[in-house]
Amino acid sequence: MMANMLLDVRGLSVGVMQGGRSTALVDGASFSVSAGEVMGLVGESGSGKTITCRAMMRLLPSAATQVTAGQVLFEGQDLLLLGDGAMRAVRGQRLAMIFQNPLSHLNPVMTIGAQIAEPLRRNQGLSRREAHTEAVDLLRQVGIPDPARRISDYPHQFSGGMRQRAMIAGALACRPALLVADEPTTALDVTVQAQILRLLLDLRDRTGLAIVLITHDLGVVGQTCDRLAVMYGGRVVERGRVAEVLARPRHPYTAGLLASQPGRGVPGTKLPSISGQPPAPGELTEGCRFRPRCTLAADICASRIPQPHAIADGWISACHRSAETQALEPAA
Amino acid sequence: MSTHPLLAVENLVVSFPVPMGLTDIATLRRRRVRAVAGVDLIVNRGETLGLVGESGCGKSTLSRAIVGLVPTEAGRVRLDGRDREGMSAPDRRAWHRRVQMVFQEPHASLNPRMTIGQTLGEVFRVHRICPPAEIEARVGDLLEAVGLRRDFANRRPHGLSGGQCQRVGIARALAVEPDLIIADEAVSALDVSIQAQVLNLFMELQRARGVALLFVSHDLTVVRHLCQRVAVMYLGHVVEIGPADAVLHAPLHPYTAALVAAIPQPGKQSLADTALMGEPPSPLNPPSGCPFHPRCARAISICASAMPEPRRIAQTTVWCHHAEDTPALQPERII
Repeated sequence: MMANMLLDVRGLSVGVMQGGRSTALVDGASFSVSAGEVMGLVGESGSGKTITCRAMMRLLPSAATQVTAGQVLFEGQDLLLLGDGAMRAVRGQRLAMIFQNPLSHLNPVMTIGAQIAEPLRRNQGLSRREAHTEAVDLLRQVGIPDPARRISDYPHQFSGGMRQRAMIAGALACRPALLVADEPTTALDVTVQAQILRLLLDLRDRTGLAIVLITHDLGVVGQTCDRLAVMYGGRVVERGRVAEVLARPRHPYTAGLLASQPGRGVPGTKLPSISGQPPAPGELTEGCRFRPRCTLAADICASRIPQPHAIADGWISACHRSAETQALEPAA
Repeated sequence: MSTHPLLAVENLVVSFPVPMGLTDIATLRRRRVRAVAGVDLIVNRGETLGLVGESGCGKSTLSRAIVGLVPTEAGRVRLDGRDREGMSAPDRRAWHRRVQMVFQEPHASLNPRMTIGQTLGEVFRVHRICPPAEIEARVGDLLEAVGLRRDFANRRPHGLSGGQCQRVGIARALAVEPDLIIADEAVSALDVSIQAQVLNLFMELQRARGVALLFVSHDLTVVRHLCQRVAVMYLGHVVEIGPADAVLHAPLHPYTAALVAAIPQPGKQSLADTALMGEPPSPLNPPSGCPFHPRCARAISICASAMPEPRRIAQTTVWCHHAEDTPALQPERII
């Protein structure tokens, strides 16, 4: 396992400077990804999943948002220590990212082909003609019909699903080892979502690509990921293999999230829901951030931050009451 | 009580003009896109009808046309058998009071400069529901009914979370004590844990007040949980309508089957193989015959030439040429 460890994020913290004080957005997040593995990073809006990945990619939105602690070991080197030039080379060639809304990440006045060919010429030194041939081939690989003709289209001429395919083609241009996919199917319809997820899994099977899939949808995680890390209020609260964690979640938040999915209980009956709402950044920094919404909360939860501890091999939960959570209702 | 259903939509057509391009101007051609292409459906008193389909299928336009937010080209919308066309202004206002809408974007559907109390109080004033002196108390009662504290009346939308804003949106719809609430993707913008809270609120209100619900959503698991009957739309047409159990567990229309198969569920270990190829065609150039035939695995020549007539099988109505010849499709039983 350690031998083919591709990415190892250790104790990553990200803070934003507000009025001279740093407010934590991500607080000590740790997880790892092996070659050829699909890792789901799950959480609700504001849980810090996107900021974690942006920090990993060194693409944080503003100078006020900064990594305050931790390491991002990728293929053995700490990305946080690299110079800008070296980081650009890693980002272009070994590490790629795709986003929720392709239209805002594709250049509207460049053809799809030119956008895919650009990194090929820049990073791999291909000639114009070679890059064009390669781009057509990439579009074919991601399932764009008639790629030789569609390569001269502009982004507005593509449908939502095709734009996401084009963005995947661009991300794969330099054969990265790891693809970070930030909610890649959230804006798509379910039938198109299934096509895109299938494409990502096919690419993994064919090329050994590892994927970090950021999503809020446990259904997507169940069907596509090997392992998952659940984030809440900037902290990773539970991680492990999907089959185990979703069958018997050991953190009360994971259990609550799973139970509030409609489609499991008897139609028309009250859905189990998590009362209240997630904490804002800077709120509840002492103790467990989930405690006001937790049915198992005790005194210790207010005073001490729960540390991650092993439930089983490769399965970690950060909860003071883990001994009691075995009684949580298992998934249907 | 009359024998009419609460809401009856008959052969409703909604179309929008398409901006003219150069060739259109040269040929003096004015094109229109038919977002809703002749829809019939009913909603009974106190029931929940789910309206599902992918983006662009016309489900939002249909729900907006029912409340009169977009003009209709043809067809009727009746409430207790009465069409609002040709009504006098006071009758029309009374008609509209009985059908209320809850929108998708919780923040965008509230005026940011008004307090929650002003937003809700306005409804009581406009519809002259109670004397001005009672408005404050009524607003407080309403907030409690949707699970918010009375002091929320003094706050403005920006201080509220998405789930709280959506509760205000529901309170606004409830203020006039409607018979029908149309909820257009009302929980889609909410996180799962908050979504469950709002769905519970819908079910509670329905039980307590007997209000009927037309629940428009792309999320079939939500619809399965909430709705007694389901209508499936594709390219402006309803292709299947019937009891939720039947439509979602033994669909008769191939499109419904594909939609059900594509739902991601935590308990499912792998992606379904029956995922549909391609994407819906543009409503600007709808296909001939059955709107689904270019993507349908069962399509034969008649599907390309003739629009299927409605067929009634058990309690389901389905628009498919093959509905009688084949047994119900069995997608992997997941919801």
